[in-house]
Amino acid sequence: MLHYEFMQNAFLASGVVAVLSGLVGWFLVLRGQSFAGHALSHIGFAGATGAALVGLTPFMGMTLSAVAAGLVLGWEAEGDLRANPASANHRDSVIGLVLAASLGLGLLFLQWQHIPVSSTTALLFGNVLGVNHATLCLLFLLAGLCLFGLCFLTRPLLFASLDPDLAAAKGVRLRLVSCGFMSLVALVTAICSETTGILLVFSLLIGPAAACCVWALLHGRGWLALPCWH
Amino acid sequence: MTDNSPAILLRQVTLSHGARVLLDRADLSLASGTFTVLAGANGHGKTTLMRALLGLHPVHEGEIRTLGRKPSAARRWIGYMPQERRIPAPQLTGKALISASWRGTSLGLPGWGQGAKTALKAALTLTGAEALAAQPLNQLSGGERQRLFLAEALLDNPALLILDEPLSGMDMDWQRRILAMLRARCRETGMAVLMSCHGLEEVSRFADHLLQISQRKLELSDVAL
Repeated sequence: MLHYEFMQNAFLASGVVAVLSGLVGWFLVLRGQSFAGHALSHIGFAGATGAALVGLTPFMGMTLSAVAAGLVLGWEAEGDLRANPASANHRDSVIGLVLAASLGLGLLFLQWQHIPVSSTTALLFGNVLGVNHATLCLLFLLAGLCLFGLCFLTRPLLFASLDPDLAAAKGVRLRLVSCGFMSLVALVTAICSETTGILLVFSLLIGPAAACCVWALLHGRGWLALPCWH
Repeated sequence: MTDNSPAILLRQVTLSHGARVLLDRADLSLASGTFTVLAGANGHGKTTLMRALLGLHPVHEGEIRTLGRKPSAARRWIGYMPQERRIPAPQLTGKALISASWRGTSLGLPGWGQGAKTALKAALTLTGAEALAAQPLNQLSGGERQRLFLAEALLDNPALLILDEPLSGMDMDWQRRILAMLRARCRETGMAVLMSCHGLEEVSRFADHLLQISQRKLELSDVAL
């Protein structure tokens, strides 16, 4: 099976997606931002379909729109966090509205361009067997960038994810860390969408990470939640 | 840190939370190496004052200096234990939770080598929580968790320790042990402690000062509580 180049490319692309979504998804679940991760893929859909209207590739449009949305979602409250007890609920309400609007915009952009249904299907469900050499190189490059960014941010990100209030008291710049992390999530979403499609990104980001946390919870294995350091 | 400067200095400070004015032009100076208990009724601003000392709550008027600097510039030398903690993953062990906060402001991958292990062990020993650190947080009692969180605040030997209701949930025996440890640390290392609590009778044997917050004023008195 691996004799064919398209199969090799498919396995390599899937490997990149698996590593990235596993690492980033773990932080998403820990920070309680799963819904934000879901929204980014839908916003990316609107960006991908809208990109053709301004002469960009769908991947470029998806990346730019998702990163911009990630920065907005990462713009968290700073200072006295007690003053914003309902901020998480408000954030989810806004995300829900933006998510629905993005899906609608994406479909509207598709309608304007009279694109065949197969193109829409490719965006929504991806085409892992259609990854060529050039796309694979781009995925590796962006994955390297994501991994570097994640390594760079890991320490304050972990601290801020486990206890944002204490992290702020010790001098972690929560807004900067949050914006940086959500930009990484946006980039990972775009990379994953290229192979698995927009609809499956959320499952890949959240599913394994959530299962890891639940399994650890059920069996009292605290080390599973921080597998790298125990 | 700035040498010979008070651990905490307030000059004509006014603090408010929403529309409520909690402190009105208050002055205060606490020296290094002192153990001060902050007392006051619910809603009178104990937590708000502590958060203002950390630069987490805005000062309406006046000036606050901690360790001779602006609060936001002195955070690395301040240990803090908040009153309420929301643990997103209670299945974590105490060791994993505390390790994540060790020099957590630095960029890069967690460097948990020998230095981290030594610092962690020293802090856990101080609060008698070595055995507790290996257990998941959701299997510990409230008082046991408090000892872990106190160890977290003591990591890296802070010059100023701000503790918001650290004794809640602890039995009397452990309360005495923790208070004795804090007093000894003040004497031995010059660390200043500001701690809020409600049961003053037990604490009076160990503290140097009582700081009473009421009617928008601060009143500092010596240990004869």
